[in-house]
Amino acid sequence: MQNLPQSIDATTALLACEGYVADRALSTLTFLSLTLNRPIFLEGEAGVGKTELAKVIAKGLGRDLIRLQCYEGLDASSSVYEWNFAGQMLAMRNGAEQGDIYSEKYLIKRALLQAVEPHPSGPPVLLIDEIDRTDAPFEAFLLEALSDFQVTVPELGVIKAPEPPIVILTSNRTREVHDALKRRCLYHWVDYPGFEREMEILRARLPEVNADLSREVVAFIQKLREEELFKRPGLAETLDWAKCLVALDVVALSPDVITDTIGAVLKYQDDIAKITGGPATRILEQIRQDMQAL
Amino acid sequence: MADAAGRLPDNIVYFGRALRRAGVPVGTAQILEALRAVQLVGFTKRQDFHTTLRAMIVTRPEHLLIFDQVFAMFWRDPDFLENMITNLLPVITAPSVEKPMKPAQNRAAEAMAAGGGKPRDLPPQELLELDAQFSHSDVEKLMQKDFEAMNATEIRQAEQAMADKTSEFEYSRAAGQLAEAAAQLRTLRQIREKLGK
Repeated sequence: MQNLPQSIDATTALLACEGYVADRALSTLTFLSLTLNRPIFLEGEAGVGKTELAKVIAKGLGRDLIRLQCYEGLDASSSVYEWNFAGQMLAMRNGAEQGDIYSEKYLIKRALLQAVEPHPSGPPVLLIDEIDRTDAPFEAFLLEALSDFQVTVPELGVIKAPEPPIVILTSNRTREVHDALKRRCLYHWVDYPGFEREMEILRARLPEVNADLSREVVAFIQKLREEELFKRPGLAETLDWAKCLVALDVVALSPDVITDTIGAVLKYQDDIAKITGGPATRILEQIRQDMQAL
Repeated sequence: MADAAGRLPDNIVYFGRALRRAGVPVGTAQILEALRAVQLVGFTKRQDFHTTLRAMIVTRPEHLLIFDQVFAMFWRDPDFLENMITNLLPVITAPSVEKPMKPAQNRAAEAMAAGGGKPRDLPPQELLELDAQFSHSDVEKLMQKDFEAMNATEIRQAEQAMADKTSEFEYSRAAGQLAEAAAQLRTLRQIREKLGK
């Protein structure tokens, strides 16, 4: 188990160790969260590295990562615990007493219960992903769970975390999450990275991509984000695309290459139809000119 | 330095009030926790201070811009009150009606001018500078008794007009009036104090 970073710079270094290039604000936020035991609430477009932050913190600190993927209709029972009903029935057939049935043996622990249990490697990282997909009742439930870090199983009693877990919530903002929940967190809006930072991230994650190709890929994606698209490409798409190009032994972008691989970048048919051909060539020419001007 | 640290709580509370006036909902608990966070972490960089306060206070992306504006004005070094009087007044009076494209900036400016932040006491030399900006006849006019009363009425009118946000035009004009009146009033008081009346 690794010690918590003692300064913002140390936090940046910790994240960088795991290949996560954080800007100053995000490092500050992470540092604050670890120091103050306050959840982080990350909001932003899909594919800008929100979920990744939780993974990296867990890895960097050597903690367990517990992920609660939210979806519509997620309720307290499927996020905290369930009884293994079939197992209990079988045990009763074999003549078990009532006390035996409600033992930990038949308890199926879900994410939130796992998060408050003691972990040998220290408090775990609890990632509550895409909270905007759940409904208001579950949010209210979370609000309570996150303020006390304890969970009640009526048959067993209260289970309280010895030390609060590190909590990270993410939202793609498909709907507005209630302010009460956000107020208890450190709120941060994650934006698309700028050119320099995206280059840095690409270098950190995919060192095998040569510098010229990286520059072209990042410049192209950056320009693409300025276009009127249904879903603008995120950082995840940049990395995917770069990987594709390397796999295809591409050394420089060309209109043909773009047409063949655009599926890694744009995920909607309308967007693809809009960009392929003329606009892609225009963007490519533009970035070549910009690069020569430098 | 100890003095500056002692003033930090006051400044953060006033900052919270300025934000509230600009339309960013800030709870007292948030302010207290923001203060705790800032003290606990101990900053050397302005940017980190900004990030910390923002993370503790803002909960919606549409408030980020307003926050940044208020922050820039509030923590502008070093003589922000003087800056506010001399710089903000023209910004919010004349063009406020014709500049609907920058509502965040306007609201931030209004909030500041409306007395959201006033934790600092003006040292004497600043008063002198302020004084120098008015000609003698100006000062005389300002000294007339009913001027302040008139201003207070103006403020009330403006506040009433602001409460009625039926049309965008009325609102921005009233907000401008209010800001102008409040700033004038404050300048007046300082000049009076200086002249010992």
